[in-house]
Amino acid sequence: MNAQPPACLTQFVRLEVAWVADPRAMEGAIALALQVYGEPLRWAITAVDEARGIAVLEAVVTLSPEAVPQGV
Amino acid sequence: MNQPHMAPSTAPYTVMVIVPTGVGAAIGGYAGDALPVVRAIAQVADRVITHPNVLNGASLYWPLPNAYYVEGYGLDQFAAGRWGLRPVIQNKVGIILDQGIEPELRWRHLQVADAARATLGLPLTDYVVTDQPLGVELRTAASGATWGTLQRPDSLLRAAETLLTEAGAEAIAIIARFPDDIDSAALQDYRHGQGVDPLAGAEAVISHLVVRQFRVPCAHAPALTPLPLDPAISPRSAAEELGYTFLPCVLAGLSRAPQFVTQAPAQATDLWADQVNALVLPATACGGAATLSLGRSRTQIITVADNTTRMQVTAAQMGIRAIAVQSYLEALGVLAAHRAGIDPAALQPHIPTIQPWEKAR
Repeated sequence: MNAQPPACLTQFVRLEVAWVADPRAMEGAIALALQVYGEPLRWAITAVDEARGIAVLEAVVTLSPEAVPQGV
Repeated sequence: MNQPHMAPSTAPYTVMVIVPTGVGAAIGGYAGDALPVVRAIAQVADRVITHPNVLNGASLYWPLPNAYYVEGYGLDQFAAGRWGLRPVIQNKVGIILDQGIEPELRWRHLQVADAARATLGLPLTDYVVTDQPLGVELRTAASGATWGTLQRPDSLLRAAETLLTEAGAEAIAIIARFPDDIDSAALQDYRHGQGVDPLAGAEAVISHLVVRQFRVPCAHAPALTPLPLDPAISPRSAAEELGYTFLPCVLAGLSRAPQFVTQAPAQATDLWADQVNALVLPATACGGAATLSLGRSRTQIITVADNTTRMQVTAAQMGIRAIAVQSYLEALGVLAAHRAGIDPAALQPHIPTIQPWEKAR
């Protein structure tokens, strides 16, 4: 039996980011928002609330076991 | 008067087709049911780039000589211009089997591998069983999209490394044991051609892990206990009712999938994002990484309204200029016109008079 700890964990993240109707600006905002949580594996903007000026971001990130943030 | 023979004066016309995985796409959200779309587009394009869940119909698949079978993480990197695609004659495919697969189910998959070798002539390496059960868990996000986790991603990555560095594999097929106790209502909906594929999001996470780590072609087939016969199965889901495994299409796709290239020396056949002429995708799913990347390039974005999804993000909301069409039939017409250098607006009955340019009109 291999007793090594997992090299990484996969974690789902749902966030609100500032919405701008500009793909380059959105990419930048998404990268900035996700770097707090881990290394992005898969992400997408799933909805936009134009009235509130926010975009809903859902992502799966990987992170090392010792780096699991509280409350994610 | 006879026309002199003219050499082609344009670059190969290249189209990317995306149907995001696990978002309940009405066309392509089930058992490889966007394959007819890609087959049709492959007739009006020189090259079609798409991802496994568009082309994979379990035991059903259709080899397209001008299609590029590119896993989603690699597709995102390609669209961003970070990775290129290099066509191959063939890949030697290595198979990873989850240790959590029961012996009888494992044999079913190994017999598919042997059948692919004997009946299709595909080159495979010997297989590897993970040193731990992978522990797939399924989840659904608030948007309705599905995703999932692995308890032991490290075991998956060790198995892939063994295949690539020791067994000589050039592409990786993963077979993970998926839970049979998935929510019965979601499964029932899926088999009846409604709702969101409960497995697809987790499948994407699994293959993304390997592609991000090793930069090789990869695809996944879930191992599941066969389900009881249901006469009400939707045609869109029926391809997954045909056999004991979902593996044949994965082996066929990976056997010719392009390799990823990230640096020089370049080869003439390498393909990069700035060579993609058009991207076709569902109208409400414009918030993905590849779409944002190509949406700020010269690529013509074409959105299809008929292909509804659980996503709620339009091209306009992302600041992406797109041609909006109702159906894939209409998209085919736009592609044919675009390829010919014809403004699709010229095919409409009313054409506005040309105007003097004004800033911010």
